[in-house]
Amino acid sequence: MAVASLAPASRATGAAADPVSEREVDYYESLPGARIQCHVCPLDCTLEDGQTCFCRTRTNVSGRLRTRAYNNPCALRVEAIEKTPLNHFRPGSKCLTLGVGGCNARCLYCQNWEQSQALPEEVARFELTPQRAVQAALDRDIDTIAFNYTEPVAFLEYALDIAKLAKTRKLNVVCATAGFINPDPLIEFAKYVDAFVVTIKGFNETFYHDVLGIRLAPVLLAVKTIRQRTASWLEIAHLIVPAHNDDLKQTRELCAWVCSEVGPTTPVHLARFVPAYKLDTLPQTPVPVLEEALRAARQTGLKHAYLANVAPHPAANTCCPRCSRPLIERGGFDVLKRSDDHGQCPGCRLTLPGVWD
Amino acid sequence: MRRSRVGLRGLGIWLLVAASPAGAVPPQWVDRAQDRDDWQRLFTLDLLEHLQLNKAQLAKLLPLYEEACRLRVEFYEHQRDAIQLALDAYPPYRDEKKLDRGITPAVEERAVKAHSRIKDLQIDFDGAMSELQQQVVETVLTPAQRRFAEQYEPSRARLIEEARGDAPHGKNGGDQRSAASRKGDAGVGHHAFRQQNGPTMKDDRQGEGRPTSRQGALENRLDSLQEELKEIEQFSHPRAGTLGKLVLSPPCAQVLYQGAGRAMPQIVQQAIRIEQSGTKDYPKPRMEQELRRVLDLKNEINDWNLVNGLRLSTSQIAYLEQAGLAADVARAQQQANRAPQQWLDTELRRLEVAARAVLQPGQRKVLDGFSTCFKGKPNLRDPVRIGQANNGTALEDWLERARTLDDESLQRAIEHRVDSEEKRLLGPMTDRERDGRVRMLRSATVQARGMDDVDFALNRTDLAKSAGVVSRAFEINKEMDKVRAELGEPGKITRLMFTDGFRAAIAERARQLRNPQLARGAPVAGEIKAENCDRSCALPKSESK
Repeated sequence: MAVASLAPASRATGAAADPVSEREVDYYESLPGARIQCHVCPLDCTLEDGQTCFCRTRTNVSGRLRTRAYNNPCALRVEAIEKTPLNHFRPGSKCLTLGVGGCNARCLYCQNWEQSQALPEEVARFELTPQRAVQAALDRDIDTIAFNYTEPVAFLEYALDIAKLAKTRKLNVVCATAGFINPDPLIEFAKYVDAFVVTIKGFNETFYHDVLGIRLAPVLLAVKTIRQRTASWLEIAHLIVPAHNDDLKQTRELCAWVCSEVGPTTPVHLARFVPAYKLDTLPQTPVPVLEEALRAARQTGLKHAYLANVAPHPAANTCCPRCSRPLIERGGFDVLKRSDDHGQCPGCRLTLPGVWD
Repeated sequence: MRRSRVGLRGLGIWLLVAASPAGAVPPQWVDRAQDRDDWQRLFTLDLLEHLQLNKAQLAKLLPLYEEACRLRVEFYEHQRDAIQLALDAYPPYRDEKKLDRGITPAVEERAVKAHSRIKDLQIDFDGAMSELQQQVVETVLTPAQRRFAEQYEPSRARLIEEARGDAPHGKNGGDQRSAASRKGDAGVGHHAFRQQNGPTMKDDRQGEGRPTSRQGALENRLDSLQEELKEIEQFSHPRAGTLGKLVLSPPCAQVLYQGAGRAMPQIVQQAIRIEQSGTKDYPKPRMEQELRRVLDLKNEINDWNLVNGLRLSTSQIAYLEQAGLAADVARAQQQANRAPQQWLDTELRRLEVAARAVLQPGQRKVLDGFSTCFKGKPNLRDPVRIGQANNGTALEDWLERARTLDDESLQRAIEHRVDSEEKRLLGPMTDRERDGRVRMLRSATVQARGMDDVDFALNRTDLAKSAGVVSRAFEINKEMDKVRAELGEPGKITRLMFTDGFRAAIAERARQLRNPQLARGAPVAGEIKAENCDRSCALPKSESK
């Protein structure tokens, strides 16, 4: 058999001629002297002409704020929805997942730091318009598009345009975010997003300042905003980092806050830290520590606390909170066994919160 | 004829040879082997006696024998270094596995290096011995000797029987000759041919008629799987067979050199000394003790790989501990009461079924996919994490690289990959199988190259799955476990989990689970601070253009 000599199309790398797209940012304010203040995220960056936001994705071009993160995802794959992580939103389904270079946080332990801590044009990337992204999902019978890997707030304009188009084609849209976003853009974006996973990375401002470079209060506000002012499904993730936020008291406080402010039926994913980026000398979170945190989460009243990044573990299963019957059994991101009836427990007939079909 | 040949009788090695029937082992030698547990030497002498090498053959054999001695001496020296390396590197690696908090890269690197050193050393030595054996077969032995040597299987029971004079020989020997001997192949004593159909020969069960019962069919299936597994192992790690292990071993030296009428060269003497007592710097008992320690550590590491992969809860651990204890009790009872093996097998199977029942579906999947390993399977030691980008399989990455190659390089890359798969995963392939594999990879690559980047990114997982292969040895082992289960024999759970090592590991894990502080370790000072936009949020212009 002859080998096809079709020249392979390779992904673009390095700086393009004009890395700034024509897409204008929706939330910014013009200030005197061609200065601009961005209002997408709580950093509210003030930019001179030619300057770029802290997120590395929005640039003041002669008094107009334009995004560099458009049509150029750096990561693109078909993934299990459990990897988002969403355990109560169409379990076992697949989603076309993408992320773009750049981020408005500086997490010391970012697992995707090569992409998130770079300008969008600095990393290998695909050419993918919103139309093509939606069409690619439809062509493969994938009914969900997910924004993940890097921070969607940093590529909000692109994500919003994809989401809007996806909704016109009856696709689901889900988003994993650190939630460091101002309420107005969040509410607008949420109109097109079926489910959010917000990672509350710690529960004190010092941790947020020292380890992530951002603030906690706006994140909590974003979580409450999603719950109270949008129709989107919400799950919470929390990465437990040894020696940084693995204090049980802090985990309890976080879970108690979720219970009281967002509701005890909100699924919470307690995730295992794996050394990465600038915290690569830390150990992985010991499983007994995660299990201790899980117990604490359940003691605070959370009905659906999960462990993530630990597979296999019974705490990845979805169980009926009333009769404890395992309804969805998982191995890693795979659903191995499902015995719920559209989210209803066949034992005690309790319907679990979530989007099941 | 016999006097011109160099068997043990010709050399006077067997003192009581005259009292023994032709080819039979003198009872005193069997007693001695039993007393000293030195059967290797007796098997060697037995094989030589049957081969009856002539002087011309000996002259050809000795240079090969000396080369084997040189290899042995070298191997011992290198082994010493490798063992020391492992003794230094394995304990910290094991300790980190115990804590299950990830492995420090430097610790892992050292341990894996030491592990590879030991493994490679053995592979190189075995490979070289295998080649020497091949040379012996091709340049020294007659076809009849070759056939005999290929089928010779050391058996204590046979030697004991023969020494007692229980086994039929002599006048019956002629009746049991192989076709080759009937054709008149000279040079091998009658006794040798009798062995071909004897109870200890490899093809003992061949030609005994087809099994009629289901059990017989299953046993045959198990045998053929074992044979296939052996063939794969021999392909990926060639080892000398019985001939090489016996004829090229130090116990042969005296017979060979006396037979040839030559003095033993120094290298041979050195090999004998090493075989008997090691070297002055590194006595054999110490080497054996340290090697045992290395093997124990390796087993311990493997146990921790499984324990970490399974993520057992305290209640599961309690149950598995009980099941393990019950397995021990059953084994002890069987020994004490001399109960039949079948009784023990049934007991162990019952316990296995019960132990499996306490595992979650995900844990069962891990157990089913688990094979003995030093590093641990990538999906267990470093599972893909939520939100993680770039987590493709090795074949996905290979396909991605293959997309960028020109035709010639691609052809080479495919050939190289198939060679490596043959060696590591599939075992020896026929030309047809190889062509099929090449075609499959080429087709996947052609598809991958025909896609643009977006299509490839979205199809790479499926494409890699369609072109992937699974280790044949793993598949065979899996099937063997299935057949064993049908035969009522114990399987993987008994092998991996009803052991002292596994029980010790889960007991340790239970302690950690009861007291998370044990696993937490010392706090690490967070000295690095994240970049922050306390003063000015904007990136400098120089960074954003």
